[in-house]
Amino acid sequence: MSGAIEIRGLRKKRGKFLLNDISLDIPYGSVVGILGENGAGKSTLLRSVLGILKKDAGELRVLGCSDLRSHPEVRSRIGFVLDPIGIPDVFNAKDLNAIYKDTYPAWSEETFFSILTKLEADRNQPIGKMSHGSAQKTAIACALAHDADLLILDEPSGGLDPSARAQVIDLLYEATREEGKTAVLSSHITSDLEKIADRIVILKDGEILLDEAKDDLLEAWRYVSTSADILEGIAAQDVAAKRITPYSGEAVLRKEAVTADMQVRPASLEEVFTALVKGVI
Amino acid sequence: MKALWLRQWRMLWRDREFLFLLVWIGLLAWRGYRSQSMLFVFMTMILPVVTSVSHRRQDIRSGYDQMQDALPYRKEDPVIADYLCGLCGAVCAALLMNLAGVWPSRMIRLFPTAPLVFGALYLPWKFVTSNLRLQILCEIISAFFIAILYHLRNIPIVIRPVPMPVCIGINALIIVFYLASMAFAIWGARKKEGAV
Repeated sequence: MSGAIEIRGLRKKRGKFLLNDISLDIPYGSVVGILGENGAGKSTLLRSVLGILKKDAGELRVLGCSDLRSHPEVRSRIGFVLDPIGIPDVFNAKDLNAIYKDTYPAWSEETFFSILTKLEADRNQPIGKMSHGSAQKTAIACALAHDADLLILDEPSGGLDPSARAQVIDLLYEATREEGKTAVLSSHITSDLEKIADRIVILKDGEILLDEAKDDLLEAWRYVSTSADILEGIAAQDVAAKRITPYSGEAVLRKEAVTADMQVRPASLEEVFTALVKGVI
Repeated sequence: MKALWLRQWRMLWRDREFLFLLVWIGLLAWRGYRSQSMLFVFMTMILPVVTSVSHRRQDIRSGYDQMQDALPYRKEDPVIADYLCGLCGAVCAALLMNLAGVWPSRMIRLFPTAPLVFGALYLPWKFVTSNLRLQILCEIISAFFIAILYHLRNIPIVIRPVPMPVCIGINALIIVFYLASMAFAIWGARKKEGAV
C-alpha cells in the first residue's frame, strides 16, 4: 500500500447508519470527489479518514500512517474543512492565525490573509457573528494556509453563493494542481466536482455505488432524446434512468446503447449521478 | 501546547458569558464575606463547574471537540492545557474562599489546594471515554458529589488548629490526587481511538 489514502473494508456504525465495507485507494496527486445524497455516509467516511471517528473494522492508512491519532506530525500535513466547521464561535480570523501558527509548522500567515482577502472574508468579525458563507471561507483559508499535502474537505462550497463558490473552486484547483497534492472533497453540488475532481466516488446508503475516473464516467454515459418505442427496446442494464411521455422519451444511456435515431449529447455529472442513484432524470 | 493554551485563554477572554460569570462569582464571594454564609462559598465553587459543563455541551453540539481531534496536537497536550486551566481556576477559587467568611478563610489557609479536588473529579472523563453517554454519566456523578458537599454546608464545622505536618500531608495528598487524575486523563487520551 503506498497511496495517499488506502482503505480496506472500512466499517463504521453510527446509530442506525452503517458505513459498510468501504475500500478505496487514492494515489498521491489525485483529486477525488465524493458524491452522495444527504445521509449517504460522506461525512462519516471523511471523519473516519481524519481519525475523528473510531472505525469498527477495516484497515485505514493516511499518508502512509495507520494510526493518525498518535502521529501529530502526519496530521500537520493534512488540511481539512468539516461540516459543521467546528471553529469556536468566539474566534475571528486573527485569533485563528495566532493559534494555528503555533499549531502547524508550515503555517503561512501571508497565505492565510491573502486567501481571506481573495475570498473577501472578514478578519475581525467572530465566527459566530459571520454568515455561514463567511465562516466557511475562513475555514477554507485555514485548510489551505499550511501547504498541506492532503486536503480533506467536507462540503467546502456548501452555503456559498455562486460567485464565492467559483472563487473557492478556483482556489482549490490551484492548490491541488501542484505535484503530489491530494484532495478528497465531498459535495452534493455536482458542478463543483465536475470542475475540479479527476475521480468520482458515489456513495449510496453507506456503500460505494461507483468509483471511476471522472472522464471515463462522463464518457460512458449519454443523455438521449428519442421516441418512447425505441427507449422501451433498450436492455435494462444499459439504461441508468429514463422518462417516457406519450410523445417522446429521454434517458441516460450507456454509450454503447446509443443508436443513430437518437438525439444525443454528453450527460453532465449531475445527470449521471441522479440517474444512477435515484433512477430519475 | 502553546497554541492550545492560547486557544483556551482566548476562548475564555472572548466569551462574555465567562466575564459575566467572573463578576457574578466576585459579587457572591463579597456577599459571602459580608454574611458569613456558606451558601455563597459553595456557589463560588459550584458555578465554574456548572459553566464548564454547559460549555462542554456547547463544544459537543458545535463540533469543536471533534475538530480538536483532527488538529496536530499530541494526545496529552489538550489534557495538560485543561488541567492547567483547572489549576488557575483552583487558585482563583482559593483566593475567593479566603474572602468568603471566617470558616472558609481558615479552611483555605490550612488547605489551599482543596479546590483542586473538584477539578480532579470533573476533568478526566472527556479524555478517558469517547462514549458520550458514559462521559455525561461520569460528569453527573462528579457534579452529584459536589452537590453533596454543598448540602453539607450548614453543618457547623469548627476548624481547630491542625498540626503543620498533617496540613502539609493533606495538601500533598490533594496535589497527588490532582496529578493522578491528570495521569489518568493522559492514559485515557492515549488509549482513545476516536469518537464513538
